[in-house]
Amino acid sequence: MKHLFANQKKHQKRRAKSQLKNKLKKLKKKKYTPKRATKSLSKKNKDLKKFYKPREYTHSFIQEFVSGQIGLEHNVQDFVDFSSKIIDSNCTRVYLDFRNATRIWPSSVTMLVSLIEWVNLTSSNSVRIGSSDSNTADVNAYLGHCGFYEYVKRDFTPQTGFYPPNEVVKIKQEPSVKNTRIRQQAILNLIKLHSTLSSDDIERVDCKILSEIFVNVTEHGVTANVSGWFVLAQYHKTNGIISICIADNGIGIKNSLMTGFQADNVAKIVKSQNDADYIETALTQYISGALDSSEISPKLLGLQHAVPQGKKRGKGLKYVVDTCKQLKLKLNICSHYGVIALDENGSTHYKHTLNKRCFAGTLYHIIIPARKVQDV
Amino acid sequence: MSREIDIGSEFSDYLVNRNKLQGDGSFTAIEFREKFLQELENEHWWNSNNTITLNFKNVVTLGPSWANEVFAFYTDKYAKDLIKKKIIFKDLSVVKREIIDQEIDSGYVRKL
Repeated sequence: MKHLFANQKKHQKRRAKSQLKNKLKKLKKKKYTPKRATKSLSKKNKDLKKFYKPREYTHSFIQEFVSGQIGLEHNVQDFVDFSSKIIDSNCTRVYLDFRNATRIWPSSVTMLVSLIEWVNLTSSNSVRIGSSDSNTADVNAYLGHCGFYEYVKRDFTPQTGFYPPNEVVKIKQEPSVKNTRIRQQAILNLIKLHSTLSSDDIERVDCKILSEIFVNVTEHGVTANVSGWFVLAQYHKTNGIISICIADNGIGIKNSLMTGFQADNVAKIVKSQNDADYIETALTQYISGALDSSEISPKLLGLQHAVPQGKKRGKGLKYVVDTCKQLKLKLNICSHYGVIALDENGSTHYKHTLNKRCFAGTLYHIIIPARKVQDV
Repeated sequence: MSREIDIGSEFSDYLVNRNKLQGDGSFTAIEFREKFLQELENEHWWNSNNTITLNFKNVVTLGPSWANEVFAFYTDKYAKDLIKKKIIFKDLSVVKREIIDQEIDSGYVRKL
């Protein structure tokens, strides 16, 4: 009997030793050595190249009619229905019939500009996008005034009397991250001139909303493959709002999280494949697709300190949401297949993941209250 | 002993980028810590009577990411009350005070 027990003890010790060895092996594997970090980074770059790999657009022609108003500012569902038809149309000729359009809001202009860039990035054959003029002079004047015609290099005669120049930050594709401060300042000046927010609240918009959104766009939306991002801001006096659009042609919030170093943990939290769920999680939890959001060799990124996996980063969008709620601002986020719209109280009044893209990249859209001037 | 740094004049009035990967990669929080807060890396400084005064009068924009990387960074090793006692903030607007307090209180690292 004694002999049996002695053998059992020996066997238990051996088992415990091998279990400890296996645990240590797993821990060693988890550690991000420079070699492993380089491997992870190069995998991320491979994912990016795959995402933007040019493909042949195979269908021939699509014509979409716009009647009435189109934009997130007016109706989220209408915007999403329209944009999802044209962004992933896969057509070599896209024709937008604006004859019966009575207003093309800034969010729609931003969507059209990002579509043009998306087509340039992803099509291996020639794609033409055209549109008719609207029967409403206002609409044509606006497309000239906001910079859209300039962007698509269309000849036009600027029409005076419709939109004063100090009521817009024109849409432009920024080819690099150099002008973030200039664009942020331009939006801030527009807000200072026309919004009804107090000076402290304007500072909150600048520091807590605009700063964080620009940081997101430049860090996650602008990559080696995609250098462009866009800004359009417009004061609408009859509606009493300032519509601010900041967008990129990046891989989107979901892909950014799932190609980042927190992917395993994100998958556990989200538990679905829906883009809208990933956007919602990014707005409410501390998760990040940032390169320094995990333990990684400091030498690789020029950082002084590595931090344990999954910690420190991921507060940015939550800051934006909390501040919008505090200041009673509407916030809409479109990121590839997902859309989330938050009302002034911070409640989600629209959340949907579509089968087709509603925005080729990520769009952050904020509505700020402004002085209302009635038409006489 | 205390020294004062006029951040807006001596460094930048636009404090937004955490590191080189954000924004235009300039005037980052990490750069600020390395240039102006070297002594805070030394434990003796925290145990001494020395303080440092950061003057924000010429700072226009302060982003939470920058504040987190500069100030919340020290919460890993030192208590929040000690940080607020040793780093004196001067000419802070209400909003910038909110941001710095929120970042120090929420800390630098948090568990998933």
